[in-house]
Amino acid sequence: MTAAGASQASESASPQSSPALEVSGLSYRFGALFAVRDVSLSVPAGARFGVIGPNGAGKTTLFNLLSGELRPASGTVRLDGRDVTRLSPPRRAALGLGRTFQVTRLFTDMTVRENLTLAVHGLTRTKLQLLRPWRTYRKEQRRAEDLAGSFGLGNRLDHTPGELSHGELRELEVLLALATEPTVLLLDEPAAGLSPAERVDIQHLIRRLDPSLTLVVIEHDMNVLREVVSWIAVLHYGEVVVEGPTADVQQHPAVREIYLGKTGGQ
Amino acid sequence: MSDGGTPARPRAAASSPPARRALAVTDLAAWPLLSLAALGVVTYFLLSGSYLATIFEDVLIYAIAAMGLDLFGGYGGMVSLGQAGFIGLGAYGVGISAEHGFGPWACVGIAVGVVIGFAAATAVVAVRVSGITYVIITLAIGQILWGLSYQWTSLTGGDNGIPVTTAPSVGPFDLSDQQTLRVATLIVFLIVFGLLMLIAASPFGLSLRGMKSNERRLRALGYQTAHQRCLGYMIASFLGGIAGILYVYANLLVSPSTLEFSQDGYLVLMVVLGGIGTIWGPALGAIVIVLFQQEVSIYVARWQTLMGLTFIAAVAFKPDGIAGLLRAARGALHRVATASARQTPAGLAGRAAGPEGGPDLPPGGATEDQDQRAERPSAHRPGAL
Amino acid sequence: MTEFIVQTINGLTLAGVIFLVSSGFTLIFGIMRVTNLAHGAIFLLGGYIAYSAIQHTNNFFWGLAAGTLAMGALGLLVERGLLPLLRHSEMAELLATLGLVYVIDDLSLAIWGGNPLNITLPGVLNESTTLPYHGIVYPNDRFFILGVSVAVAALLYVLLRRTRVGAIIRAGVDDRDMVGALGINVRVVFSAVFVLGFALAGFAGVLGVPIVGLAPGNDTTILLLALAVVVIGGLGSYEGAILGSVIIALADTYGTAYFPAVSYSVLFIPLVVVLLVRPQGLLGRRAAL
Repeated sequence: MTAAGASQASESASPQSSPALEVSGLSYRFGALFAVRDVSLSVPAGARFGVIGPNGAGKTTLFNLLSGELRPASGTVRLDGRDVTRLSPPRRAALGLGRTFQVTRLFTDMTVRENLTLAVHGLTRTKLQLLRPWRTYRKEQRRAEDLAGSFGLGNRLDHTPGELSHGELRELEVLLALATEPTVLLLDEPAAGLSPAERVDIQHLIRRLDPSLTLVVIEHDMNVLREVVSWIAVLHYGEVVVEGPTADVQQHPAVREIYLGKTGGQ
Repeated sequence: MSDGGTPARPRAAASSPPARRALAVTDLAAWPLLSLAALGVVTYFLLSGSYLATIFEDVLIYAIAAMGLDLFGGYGGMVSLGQAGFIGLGAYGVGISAEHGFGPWACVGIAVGVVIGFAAATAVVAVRVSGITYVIITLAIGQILWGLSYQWTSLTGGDNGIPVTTAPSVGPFDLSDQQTLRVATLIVFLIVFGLLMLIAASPFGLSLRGMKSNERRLRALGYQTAHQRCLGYMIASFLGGIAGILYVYANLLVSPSTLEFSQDGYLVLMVVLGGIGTIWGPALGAIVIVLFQQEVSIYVARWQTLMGLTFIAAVAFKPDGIAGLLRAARGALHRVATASARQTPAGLAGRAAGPEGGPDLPPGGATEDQDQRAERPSAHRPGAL
Repeated sequence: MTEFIVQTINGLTLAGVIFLVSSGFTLIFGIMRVTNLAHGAIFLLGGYIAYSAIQHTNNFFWGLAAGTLAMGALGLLVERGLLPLLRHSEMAELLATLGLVYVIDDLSLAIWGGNPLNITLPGVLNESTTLPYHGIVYPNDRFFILGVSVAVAALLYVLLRRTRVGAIIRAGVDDRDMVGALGINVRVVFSAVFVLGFALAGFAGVLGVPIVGLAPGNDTTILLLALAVVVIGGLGSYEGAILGSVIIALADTYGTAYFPAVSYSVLFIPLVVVLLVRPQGLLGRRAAL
């Protein structure tokens, strides 16, 4: 499986020494059932890479393998050339991996500011600091405020997630992941549960992300995915059945078949 | 969220006050006068030389252990039913050292060492398990310690315990003098209180709350939660040990009853009654429980039944404890204050001043919704239990 | 050697009593996820109520019935009256049972006082038998207790493995939501399990008096032994309760006899180890905690 370097859009011009994210022969089993079977992918730096498949195809399991929450039965995961297969989620985060969750996982009993503060301190040594109030860390607080402000949540800092709209919650999900300044960002169904209008906002947000950031996006809705990624891998029963530029994948007969003949998937 | 009859003023996003969030350390800051008054009362009685002095000394000692328990339990979501075990470790550490002829300060040093050593050796339980499992495992560890204190008679004197008479001296101050000891206890309490407030407000404290709230997310953000759990456990255990050292000098005796199961239970009662997750709430809870033990017991023979029923009622109806009640009261006061300050035409004209606070309140004040929610048992209540 | 035989039989009879208590605890936890810290207090209260009933009727079996039924009724009261207030929060339920311990202990102290009480079994059960082996003289009441425990254990087994209700209960332990989704009236099943669990504890509390006595403080000991059993054996596992009971009871008995200085503490080391290494217990099917 060659790298997606041949496709158009947002990669950097210089040749890559190693892909930002590389997976080979990855498998995971629940008992006798393969949730993910022999998956190999290569994502170059700065790519906008999509993973699509019907429910139960193994997309979230794949993400959990990428982020370290699950250990694979076989295969490897490499981050910027480095083998991270044995590393825990915090260690991978320290190496530049960030992710969001399909079911919004925020700190629901804490304010937006507190949520972002946690995220901003995540990879610093100050997170174990005992004797200085976190509110006094001006640089980190400014960072949290800037993050919130640049994505429209600037005036919601003192609210709890319970008071935010669903679209704002999904935005906050992404902001938390961005706060650790990842080089590779995994977005797990960022548009899940959003209204059409909110979906446009999330697509807009994703497109505004730094071009040097490598994005891997899971979606099960092709309409959303094709707006934000230039290369798609299609997952079915845990295996990659089709992979290629967005336009090609959309037209591919096997993909149509998987989605039972409906156009654009659903 | 009821709406009542007031004209629908849209809940403006920017200025509506924060909805219900978990109780936090900063709630105390909203009651500076009350805090100072409480401190004044405690100090007065402590130094009065009356029988209330010993009661308040007990309060301070248990409060230290309870606040430590709350840091890891309420803040971090790891409630321990074995905190009394660390009180016992500290107390027996002093007692056994004294019996073997060590000088007073050496005894304190050995006790501290034993507490820290045991905590470090058992910290693995805090790292590997959580929730109910953690409750049970800490209960078991506490019982292991109790069993040793009761059965290993050659070391601990068994049921008789170990008397301790000589306390260390701090310069000219001899802590063997009960009055001096009480002042020292107050000072230690204030230092511990201040440190815990700082810790609660620190990035580490915030991360403990995050761990309780959503550990998986926290790990994805780069937090090695094993480190946090270790640290939280060690701090809580250490404070239990400090309480134990003060205990043995105040009571001149340590025995197995110091760390029996009911003592573990009392500490949890203090934390929950006072306000789990607030740090200062458990200090209030300590006052309540000790007063039950010492004062209510004089008038009501069945004070334990009363205490147990009160606790059950608190868990069922007011899981935020006294701290929650204070916060609701503050909200009510706020509403009364702003309602009387504002006399809008809509408010006067033929309509009772609506119970709904809504966006009229300044940010930071409690809304009616908040208090209604506090009254109404709801399915999932973050921040409490 | 005779000493060892005697201790072993002692251990087995204790295992019987502990099994009865633990099976109730593990059922309540398995189905309802309630960690009933008051389970030891229920054991104690059952014994006390039986004592009073025996004072009045001079009949041990009326006492046994009274203790069992009264605790069953208490179980119904708690399940219907208290639990709904606690919003299905496991921690809240655990804490509420902790409060219940203080209430029950205090009221028991008020009614029956602080001195140890005694229940003697009627007639021949109160005597001793000379065993053919080495002429060991062994009290009959212990054989009775062991026999009854085994009989009840067998009945429970039949209930759980051979009846429809038992299948529902076992399914409920595995997957509570699924059982509800199957249209079975889980409310009734849960109540029944809770009542059964309390009743078993009360029953054990009466039966166990000749072995463990009847005095304040027993409740804590029994609770902790039961906790050790269900953790080691596996929360929600019936077979685990049997295995755990034998292990814990024998360990306690041998320990008290041969290593008195540390016998109590040593009991909890397996508990801690199991929780760390295999949280689902030796025979439990999943990390139930």
